[in-house]
Amino acid sequence: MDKVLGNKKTIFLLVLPGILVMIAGVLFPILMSGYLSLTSMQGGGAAKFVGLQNYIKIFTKDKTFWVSIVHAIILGFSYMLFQHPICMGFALLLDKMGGKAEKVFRVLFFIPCVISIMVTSKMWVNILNPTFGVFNKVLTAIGMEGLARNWLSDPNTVFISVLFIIMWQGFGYGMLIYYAGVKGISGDVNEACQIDGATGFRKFFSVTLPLLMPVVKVNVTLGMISALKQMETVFLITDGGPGDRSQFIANYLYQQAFRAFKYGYANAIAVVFVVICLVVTVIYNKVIVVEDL
Amino acid sequence: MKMKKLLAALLTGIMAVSLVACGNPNPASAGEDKSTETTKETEAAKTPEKSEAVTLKFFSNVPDRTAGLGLLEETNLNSFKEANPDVNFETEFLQDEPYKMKIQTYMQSKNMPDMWMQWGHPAALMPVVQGGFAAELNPDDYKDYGFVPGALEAFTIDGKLYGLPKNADFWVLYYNEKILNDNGIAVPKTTDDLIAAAKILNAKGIQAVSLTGKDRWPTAITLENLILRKTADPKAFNDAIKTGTTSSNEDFLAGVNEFIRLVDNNVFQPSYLSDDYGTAKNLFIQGQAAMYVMGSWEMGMGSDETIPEEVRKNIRATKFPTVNGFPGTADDLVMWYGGGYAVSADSPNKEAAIKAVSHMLDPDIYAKNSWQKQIAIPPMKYDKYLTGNENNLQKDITEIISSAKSTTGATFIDMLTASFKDASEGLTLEMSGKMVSPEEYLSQLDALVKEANAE
Repeated sequence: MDKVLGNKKTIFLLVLPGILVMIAGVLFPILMSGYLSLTSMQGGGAAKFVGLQNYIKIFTKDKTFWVSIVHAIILGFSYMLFQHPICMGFALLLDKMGGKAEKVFRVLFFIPCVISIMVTSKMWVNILNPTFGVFNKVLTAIGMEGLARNWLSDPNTVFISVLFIIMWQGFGYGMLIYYAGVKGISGDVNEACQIDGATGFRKFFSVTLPLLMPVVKVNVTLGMISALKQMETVFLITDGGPGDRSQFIANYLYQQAFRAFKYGYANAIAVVFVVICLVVTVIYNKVIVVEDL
Repeated sequence: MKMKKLLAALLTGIMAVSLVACGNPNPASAGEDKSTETTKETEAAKTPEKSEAVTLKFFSNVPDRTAGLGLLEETNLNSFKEANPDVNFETEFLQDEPYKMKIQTYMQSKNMPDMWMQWGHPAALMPVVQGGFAAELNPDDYKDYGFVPGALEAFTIDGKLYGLPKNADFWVLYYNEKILNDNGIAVPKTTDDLIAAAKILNAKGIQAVSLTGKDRWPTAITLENLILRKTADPKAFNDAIKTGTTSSNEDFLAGVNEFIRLVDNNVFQPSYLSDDYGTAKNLFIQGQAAMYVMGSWEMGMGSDETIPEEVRKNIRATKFPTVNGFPGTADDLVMWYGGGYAVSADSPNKEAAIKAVSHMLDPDIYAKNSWQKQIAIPPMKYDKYLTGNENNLQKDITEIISSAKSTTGATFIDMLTASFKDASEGLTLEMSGKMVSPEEYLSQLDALVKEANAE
């Protein structure tokens, strides 16, 4: 039996079905996407070869594409600057809380992640609706009616509203990962801190944060991935509008392919998008991994 | 050595079988999902073929064959079969989006079904006609069908008829009679009336007119109504769209400005830009909005028992308001023909297919059933099929269509390609959200036309 399994031909024959499935299911679609990006295909019709025309349009004329990329980058940084510090803060608070309260709040914070994105998105659409939404009503009730507005219709507030909702939806996951990190810090370390007299900020910046860095790396990675591929929430809340004020790249790609039937162009967007993701990954590896913060 | 080869073959075989086993264990059941796909032979088609029997392939975009338009199609096909026992039907049906894809595939492979559902707007009809796929029909054969003015024209290109319409859709203003009466507001006839009504209603926390912006096309069609009021010419705007010359016409600009005036005066609910179809409709049917701009297909609201009775009984419809100082009348309708039937020019059974399509749209069958069962507004006169038991909303809709003097035949967003439709709808929303000025809107619209024509 060992001889059989050690035979190169046998190994080849055994992995062949898997390779064929990979070629048919992954490699072929990627190559097809690359080919179609060089055509003006519009659905079921013939794919007319147009060379680099689609790419030239993306780089020279398509404002929405670049707006979408900028939005994804802003979302990525928002995760790092706003969501993660809050998640980490709540994780530390939960850890300090202990007892039954810790368990209860841990579940409460994670509930939004268990509920379908469809439900939470529609919930926020209703909360922020200026006609019947509760948010503006609360603002009015506490005497801040000057702040009440059309949060999801106003071009000036729609993006920040969408950012807030997306970060709220991801809060539970972020917090849970940090919480796991905090729980992983040995009690001996805390004891040593106490003996050495390190408390508060000093303890956090000198001991807790460095020990949480592996978790920070994981969360930053997940945040960047989530920002780049953002689709469902935007699709359900604003569909990228009004105009392109809340547009994200995956949603834009979908619209070009399945609403405008510009399959060739949508494939070109997909190819450029993949390249951008690769560049972001390389930069991320250089900054985060190599320096090993 | 033999044993080694045998073992290798055996292991490979096991691997292949286990991979195959990961697939659908019951492939037959996959095809049973009516909502996604499929081909269905009518009972008639399953009967043994006679020597002179003809089987016609029919491709429809209505997947539900047990209710509404799907059931009506099935009933009509069966009644044709009863009268013509030698004709069988093989019906294939898909939902709209996959339908659009597959009809293109049929066109590419030059293998059109004998008869199919065909949209009448140019973006859909032109490729079918230019490719020589649709058979020419004789307009004289339909003189007695009572098609409303403009209905057959929607399927006519260069004076030749290529299809028959089955739906007439037009824009109306629905209103809640009780809310208007309670607030001393007369049914709005002009946009000034709408603005005056909005002032009274908004002061009482009631929305004046509910409109959906997130679904985009209703905003574009509402705008087109206002442009039509200014031009008083149902073809003017659509013709300018075809040539990309909207920005050079002051009348169009006046229509766009009138739309902005309605927005500025809070005629539409504050959230209309982000409200989807369901939300906008809910505002109206829950009594939170006094009026609702939407297509005539919402006529069923008058008998929809899911709508609270106090609202349902008070839903009425009126013509889209005129604009003081604009020459257009309320009898100029933005109206289009949501769908129709066409016959393959290359069908070996072309005559039988034409006969079948003609039968399906025979007013005594189609107009009667679609009206009386509230399935659709037939694009032909249906006065004689009124039962006398129609609710107020049905009567209002009938009055609107029967007094129409002119119709656009299509909406501007449907005039060119799918990408033009997508981009022009988005641009219209940007204009209504004041992200682009009315002047910029029209010039950018012209740029989109040029882009669409270059595709």
